[in-house]
Amino acid sequence: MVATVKNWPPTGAVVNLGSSVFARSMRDQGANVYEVEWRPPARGRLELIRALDALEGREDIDEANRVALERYSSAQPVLVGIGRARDVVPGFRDRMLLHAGPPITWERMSGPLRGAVIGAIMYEGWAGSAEEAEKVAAGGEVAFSPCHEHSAVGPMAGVVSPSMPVFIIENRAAGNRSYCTLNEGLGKVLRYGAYSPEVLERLRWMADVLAPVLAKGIELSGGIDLKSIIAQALHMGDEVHNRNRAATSLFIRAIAPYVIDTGYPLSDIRRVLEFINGNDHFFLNLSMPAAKAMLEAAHGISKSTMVTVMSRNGTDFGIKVSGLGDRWFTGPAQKVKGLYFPGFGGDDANPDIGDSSITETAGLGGFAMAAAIPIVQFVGGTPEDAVGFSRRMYSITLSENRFFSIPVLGFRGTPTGIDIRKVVETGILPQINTGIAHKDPGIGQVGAGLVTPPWECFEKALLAFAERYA
Amino acid sequence: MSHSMTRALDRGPAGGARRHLGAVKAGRRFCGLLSGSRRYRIHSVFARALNLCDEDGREFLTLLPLSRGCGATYATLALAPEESFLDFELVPGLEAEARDGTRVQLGLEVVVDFSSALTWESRLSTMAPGQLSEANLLVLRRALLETSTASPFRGAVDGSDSGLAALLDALRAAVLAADGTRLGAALASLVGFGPGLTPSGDDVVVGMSLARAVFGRARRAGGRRDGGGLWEAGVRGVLARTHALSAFFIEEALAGRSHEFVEDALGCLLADGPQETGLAAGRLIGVGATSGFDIGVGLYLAAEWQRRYAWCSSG
Amino acid sequence: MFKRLTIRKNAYYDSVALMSLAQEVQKLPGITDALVGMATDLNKDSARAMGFGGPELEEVGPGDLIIALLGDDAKSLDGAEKLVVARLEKKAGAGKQDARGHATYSSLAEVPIGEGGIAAISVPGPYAAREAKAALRRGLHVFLFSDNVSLEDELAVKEMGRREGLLVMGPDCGTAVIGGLGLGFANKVRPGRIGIVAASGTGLQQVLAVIDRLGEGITHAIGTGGRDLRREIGGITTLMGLDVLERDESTKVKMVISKPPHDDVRRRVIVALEEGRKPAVVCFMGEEGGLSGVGAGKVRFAGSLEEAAVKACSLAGEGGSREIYPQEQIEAMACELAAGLACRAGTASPGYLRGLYGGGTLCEETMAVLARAGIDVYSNVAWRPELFLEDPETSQAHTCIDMGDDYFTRGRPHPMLEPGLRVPRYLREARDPDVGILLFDVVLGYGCHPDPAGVMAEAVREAAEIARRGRRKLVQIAVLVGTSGDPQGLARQEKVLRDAGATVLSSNQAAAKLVALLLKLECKQ
Repeated sequence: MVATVKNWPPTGAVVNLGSSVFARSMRDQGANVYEVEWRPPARGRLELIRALDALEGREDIDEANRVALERYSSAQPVLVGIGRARDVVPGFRDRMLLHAGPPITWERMSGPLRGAVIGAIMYEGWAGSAEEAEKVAAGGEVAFSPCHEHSAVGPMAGVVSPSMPVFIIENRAAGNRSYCTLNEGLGKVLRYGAYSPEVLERLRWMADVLAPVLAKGIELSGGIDLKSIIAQALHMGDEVHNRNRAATSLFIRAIAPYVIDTGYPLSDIRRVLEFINGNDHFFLNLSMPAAKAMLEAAHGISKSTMVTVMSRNGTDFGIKVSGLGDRWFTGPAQKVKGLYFPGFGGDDANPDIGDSSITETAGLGGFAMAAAIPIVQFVGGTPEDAVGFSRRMYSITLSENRFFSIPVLGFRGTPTGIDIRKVVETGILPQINTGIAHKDPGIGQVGAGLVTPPWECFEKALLAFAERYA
Repeated sequence: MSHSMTRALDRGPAGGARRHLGAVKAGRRFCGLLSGSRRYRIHSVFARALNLCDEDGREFLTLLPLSRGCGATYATLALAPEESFLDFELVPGLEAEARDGTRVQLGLEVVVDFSSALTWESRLSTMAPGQLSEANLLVLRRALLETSTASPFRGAVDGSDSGLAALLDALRAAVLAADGTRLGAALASLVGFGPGLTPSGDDVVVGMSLARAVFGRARRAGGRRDGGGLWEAGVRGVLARTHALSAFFIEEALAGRSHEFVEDALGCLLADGPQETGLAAGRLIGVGATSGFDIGVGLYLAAEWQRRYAWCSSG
Repeated sequence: MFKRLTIRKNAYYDSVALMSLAQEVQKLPGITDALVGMATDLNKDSARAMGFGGPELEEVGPGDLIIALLGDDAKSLDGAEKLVVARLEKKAGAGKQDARGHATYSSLAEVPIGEGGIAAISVPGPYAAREAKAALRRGLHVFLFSDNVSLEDELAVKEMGRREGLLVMGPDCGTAVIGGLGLGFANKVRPGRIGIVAASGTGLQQVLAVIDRLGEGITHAIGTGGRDLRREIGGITTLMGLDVLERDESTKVKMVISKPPHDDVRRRVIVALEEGRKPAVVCFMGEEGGLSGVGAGKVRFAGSLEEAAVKACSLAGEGGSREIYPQEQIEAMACELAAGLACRAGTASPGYLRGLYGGGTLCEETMAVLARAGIDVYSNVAWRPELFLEDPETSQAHTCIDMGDDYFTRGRPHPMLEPGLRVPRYLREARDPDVGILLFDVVLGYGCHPDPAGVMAEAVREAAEIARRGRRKLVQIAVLVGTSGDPQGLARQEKVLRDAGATVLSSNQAAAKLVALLLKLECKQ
């Protein structure tokens, strides 16, 4: 009946959880004390703690996560071409627009998303003026669908219309493909909801000149390995979400020789290279679909708690979990805390928007912020904050990245594979680096900063997960 | 990055402060702080005293160890003799955050718990001054003379510093002659005179003002409703010459309020026997380096002049 | 030649760090060759060259860590592996540091502690069981200071501990001393021959203080939490603890301290003690001592904490027992104090007793002693309903308050941590003109306030001043529980209290007897 006590007497090492008074007093007695800065798990909510307990120590879940992570890790995203959205994006049809974030109706769309929709309708010629375009959008003649439901991603408003050119990225390990539009640059651009004639003019040039020239260059190159560009860029001060300067440069190095060989008129080639060179964010529209291609490979693993999508439409924030199929778990998009461009302030900001948080989902962006210390000049904070943010993300992730590493952390792999259990348990939300859009259509970016998903997403996802698998 | 964000990250487990200090007694003026209706910041930190200051920089609250006495704007804490406010990483400018009406968080390290604190009651507020006992005055005078102190007013009490004695006498004469100009000039040389957060001259004025307020209360109860008389106007006219904290103590004295040991010394002088007066005088003189002594000088002179010239009831 | 291959899947480490680690391991005595690295093709080849092979090695990839060791014997391999694991864990856990330069971690999972350590848990009750289970999964013994843990959770945690062969001390365990390390509120006691299992924190501290005073020492003092001997729990920790003490070579005398247990559990505990080889002392607080119980075999019964400690010391040592406060001494103290106690007008009583305790067990012991003397004492922890205080804030007649009770500690630290929180109440009692005796405890030890006597001395002075002004006599009695090795300094703490005017005793039982004598005094005026 009486069990024999093992490991007696104890080793003299003590871990202290709770009052630091006891940690100090044990240290005073010469004990080897490990001190945990304890916080209530799951923000103290007992219902969630019960769900966590039910999922605790489950080897089948651990195994599912290992599989999901392995699929993510072994993915090889390669830029293989450019195509017309209507022709290449799965599930696309006429009179359909894709947008960032979880599903949303015209009525609930925020300013920048509405602006981008109006612009896209005019670009497609479904309406001649902004007023008409609004009527078309509101009249139910256009179908709205999230990019993420078509293996695509789009920054900010993320609007993709049928005739827009899109990058095609192929995961050479599993064969799945992902898609993203080409980056328009900064200032007045469709992704921030601008739809003035110059915006539409640029989009047309991108479709008519940029896309074909680049497409030919990509074809000649035989495909460009995005994973290695990202890995190198992390060692050059990028985190490939809010800072893409190094990655864009590396991309130019990789593509320029082939672009020159395309045989297009030199004036076009020159404009194409100048366009990419003049836009530090050009690579964002490649880092995003690369992340998407890797994560989509990890999606749909039964019993996996790994987050495969984090995305916002300017009104809602939504996540998807590998083991929970197509379900979105949503909550209100948050205000971004950060630095504003001169003349703008907090009142001008739209809530968090865009699919670009796919980078954080893949262990990049805010998760790799310690690799991109200069970014604090852009989003606010100190270098120590940048390191701290990355470091904290290890507490909510399944693993350390095998390919993407952070020099200042001793080349430690970036924190990768957000585990909904760990997020809920620790109460630590994923850290996202992001741009701030003006709340009115057409004004564009007004700043950049840091944001987290709303807690509800993870709470709902965990409860759903427990209901399904506990 | 917003301030609240970084701070939320830094905050310890469950908001756990390192020390949770029990307030033993608190004056009524702590209501504003505890209810959150008035915001205070740490003004100054000493080993055994901590001053809070409101946002206008005009109202002060002081935390002291239990043995150091209370008051309307004071609270006493149960501290061990060796404990020091300097150990708690408290720095001027930190906000004193009220929580659920009974607790105040000071920085990340300290919570002061007022939930079972006793309310400090002023002895003077209910006191009607009667005849001043000569024996009590003698006890106070002897206590002052027996003190060795660095205060410049030591010489004024025993007569060795005729300059300062003349200055103090000018106060007496000016009030009795209702000469506002002369009073103002004398006060101007007194207030702000001497070193420290509460200069010696200020402390003398505190003692005199408190005594006048208590006698003045009797006078007002007797029908005269002049509120601020010659002295009060004169003192207020020179307050800008000194530190905000010291000015606040003088204002309080004008309103008839002061630290427990000061009020007690005056209370004993007015209502108790020589033995109690001696004990109270000893406690008062022990306050600060010179403050207690200087306030005692003010009390003594005002009381002595009241007995001889009805000075407190004049002007 | 011994060889061992260990694989850690999906554990990625920087190759530079691994190379230097491998070099370090190779230098260990008894190790002939070592490889610590990610399972790249190159490293896999090296491992094959060392003589490893098989499907295990074929399956791993660059995301997995391999530790390949060759050595003279299994022990050397063990040592090397331990070093590797410790270094790698250190790397993973290399976290933040607190303001005082100690590393801090944000969860138990991050802490690189090995099996057989102790987890000291003092988090809020509703979360405590979860942390305790996590600690048990890590192979740690658990010291569970937290209270407000449900009985079901307590049972679940203790049953898990029993399955794993790990000790669960608590919940609501205030004190333990394991191998000289004090956990919670614990006194410094010299190593000795007495091993203790105790269900009460302050009860245990009182026993430790007496043992120290008598010059004896302890092996382990294992806490169990207050409910271990209830029927629902069945004494899981008590019985495991007694088994530990039975096996422990240095323990010569066993001791059990608890409230009276459930009858079934009592039987099990007594049988366990009788079946052991060593003599034992049992104190079921509130029960009379003497030699009752199952025969007069190995078990002696004590009627108070002091008596229990004295009996254990006499069993451990060669000499006979001696009380620390003989009855004559208490009577002499009473006479001396009585001279200072004036009778209240029109009554023959020296005034009411007001006792303010931080230690709940001490509070109960006082009430028990006074009840035996026929004196009713009101309390917030009274067991007779008619003596239960309606309002814990308001004393009536003779009152003893356990200020460590939930009512007083909700949202506030325990009075052992902040004795100052008792002071306003102490002064309120001092102001009550009907009060003649103030009684309080001052508990020393690790984890307690750094100068509790200093804090209370201020209150004693203030109370004396209040009494002086009210022209009343007030007796103030302090129970000082501590050992000569405690960080606060026993002698200094005693002096501080005496200088302030308090009567200081080191045994609560003696203090209670003294109060009983004072209250029984006929007024001789």
